[in-house]
Amino acid sequence: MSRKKIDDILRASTPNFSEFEFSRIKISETAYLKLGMYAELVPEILGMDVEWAASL
Amino acid sequence: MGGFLIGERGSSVVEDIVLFPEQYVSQVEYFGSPHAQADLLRNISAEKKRVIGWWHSHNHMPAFHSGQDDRNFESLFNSVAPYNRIKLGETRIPVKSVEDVILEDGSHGVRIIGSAGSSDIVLSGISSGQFGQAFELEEITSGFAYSIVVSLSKGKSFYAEVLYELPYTGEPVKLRGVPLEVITSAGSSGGPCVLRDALAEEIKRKVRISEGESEYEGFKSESVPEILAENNKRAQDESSSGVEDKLKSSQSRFKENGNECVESIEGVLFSLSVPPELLYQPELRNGEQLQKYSEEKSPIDLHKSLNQSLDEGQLYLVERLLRKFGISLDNFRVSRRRFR
Repeated sequence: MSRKKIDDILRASTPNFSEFEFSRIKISETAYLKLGMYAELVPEILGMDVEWAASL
Repeated sequence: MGGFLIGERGSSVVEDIVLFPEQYVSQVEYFGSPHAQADLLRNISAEKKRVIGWWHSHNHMPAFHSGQDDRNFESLFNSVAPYNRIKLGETRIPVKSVEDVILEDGSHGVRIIGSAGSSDIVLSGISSGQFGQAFELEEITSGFAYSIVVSLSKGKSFYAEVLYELPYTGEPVKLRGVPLEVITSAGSSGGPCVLRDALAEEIKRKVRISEGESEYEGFKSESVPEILAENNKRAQDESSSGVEDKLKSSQSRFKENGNECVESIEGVLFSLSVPPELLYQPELRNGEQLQKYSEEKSPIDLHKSLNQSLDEGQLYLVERLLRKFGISLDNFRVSRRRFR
């Protein structure tokens, strides 16, 4: 069964279904902030902020 | 550096993230101890949470999925999607008719004639008047997993992918470049409390820089498949026992009230002893093999489960599940069972 067909079934069967569930990832504010903060802290703490990226 | 995305059972929202507990980080990859990850998974499970995805940082490399990231994500999806099922919707298909019949042994019963291609079901010991408004309830569910990459290249940026199963067929579908939607807690004042110092201490405790592979060679020699198999078995046992209890309580209510529907499709799935991973093994999607698998490996016998009392709602779901595997209800002598 094609994805379009399934989308059609979902929309027809659930009146409040306006957007496909997986068209975006819902994330809590806390999780989002932690994610960004972890990423920022690693180079700072572990000293990985070196110019290696240019060699990639 | 990386970790898991955590959510509530039956929900698709990322509620929290955790850092892998023991990991070595190099410029281009990281590697976590499988044993430490297994401990982490046990803790997450004990808190009644679910791993719904994986995140990792690319430091100063742009946010995208490398080939290795793709393989890691697909592996995670195969591990967690069977347990991360969410309801996308439901359809209600009216039953075509319910008629009273006299069975071969002379007892009275009903024949349920379904629609949408479903086969007839014959039940003994009940009459059509007990059905009221009969319909087939079809839940539309999907298993899924997320992957999020965070990068500091040209400022902080996020890249996300979703792997989910097409309902009905189970075929995996990958969505690339999926946007994040940040959910703000209602009623919270002052915003969320994320303590930078605490996270910094956590990173110092859990993450080590690797100059080469020597530091984590030892981890790589650990038997990852064995650990995963152990975790899967534990998760399966845990799920099975929980739903077994649910099924028992559902059956006791049935004896008191006559006709009452099962609480969830999952209950029926497990009452049939169909391990969740079975649904993801194409070679087992065959009636004969399923039955063999069930008899040999399952803690609950398929026949025994079906010989227990089921109400019509449960029975429909059983029939639907069996049909998915190409098994006819007639093979299980449903029409000869007597209902109280």
